[in-house]
Amino acid sequence: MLNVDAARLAREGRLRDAIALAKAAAKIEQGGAFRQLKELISGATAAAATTALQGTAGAVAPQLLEILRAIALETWTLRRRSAILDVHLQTVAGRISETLPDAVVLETSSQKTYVPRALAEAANRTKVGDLLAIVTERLNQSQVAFEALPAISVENSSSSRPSPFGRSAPIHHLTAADARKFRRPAAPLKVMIPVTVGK
Amino acid sequence: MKSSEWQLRSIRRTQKDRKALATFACANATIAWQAEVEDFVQNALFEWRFSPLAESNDPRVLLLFDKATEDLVGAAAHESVVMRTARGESFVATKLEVVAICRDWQGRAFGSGARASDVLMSGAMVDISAWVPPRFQRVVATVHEDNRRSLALCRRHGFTEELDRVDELSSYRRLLSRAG
Repeated sequence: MLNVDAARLAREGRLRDAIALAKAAAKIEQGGAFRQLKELISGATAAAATTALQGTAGAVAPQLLEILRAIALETWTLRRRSAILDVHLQTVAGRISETLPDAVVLETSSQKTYVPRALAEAANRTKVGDLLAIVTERLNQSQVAFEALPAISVENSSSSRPSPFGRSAPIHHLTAADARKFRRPAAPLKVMIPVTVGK
Repeated sequence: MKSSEWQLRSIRRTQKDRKALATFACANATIAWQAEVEDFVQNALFEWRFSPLAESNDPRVLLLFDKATEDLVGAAAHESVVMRTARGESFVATKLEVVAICRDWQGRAFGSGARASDVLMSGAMVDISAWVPPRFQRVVATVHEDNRRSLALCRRHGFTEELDRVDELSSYRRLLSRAG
């Protein structure tokens, strides 16, 4: 991921940032988690290694998942610190919540995205509950590139719980008592401090 | 109350604003309900605002800056939502998605005495009141039951009614702006 970011930065002419990021990627690759990953993959059967590399880590999980989580967190922290966030590059990572004949519905804490099934298949992620990431890169005014990647959760399952944030938040249900409150007209909102909101 | 001390504006679809949110720190990482606010602001709020799939919700994100330092002091967001009963009755409302003040400004006021949290919340209320097309003015804020500062902030700003809690978020209170 970081090497891809570095290549992208180089293409944009941001050579110093690209070199710094490539060095950071090399550092992660020399780190303990990456070494463990290499040992685990090399010790696995060819089929297990293939499924791991394809993102369908069945045979060597959950140890593999733990290592991948550690590497993902390192990478994520570094990307954020390196300020390589790009308004032309958007990543939507979430869980598939629904499958349709031609598409899967990718749900995040803030949105639902319809992903063409062929794109999801390219990442071996087509079942409800699968984790998938879609990277969208605007190449120029008329071209956009999509890349589907298998995703992993960096949280332990115990910490995955409903959140009050985002559009999937389960806050929209009203009881009969709530509905009675909503039927009453709203009072003007209270503004404690006169403020102006600029554009 | 001097607006010359702060700048309150809509978020812009720029790398600068995106980065400002991505590095926004408002939580003690050991407290889960604080950490999830920070996580949402850092990792989801920008896309929450600019997702083309959410245009019909008319999402708004406001940023509060300290004019002297140009530091981001806080972020607030709201959008139109539809609330429903089990019998299918629906009501349009405004969801106050988040009101977050960065760690350095929590409990602090500007030189004129205006609390940063009150300035930001006032900005959200003004924005909801004045928005065109008119935004439905029953506003729902979801606040963790242990988040005393936010509960007090909501009370000060007229969130005096409360909806029943939902099972999935049993530690959260759903506060409702007052009726007429």
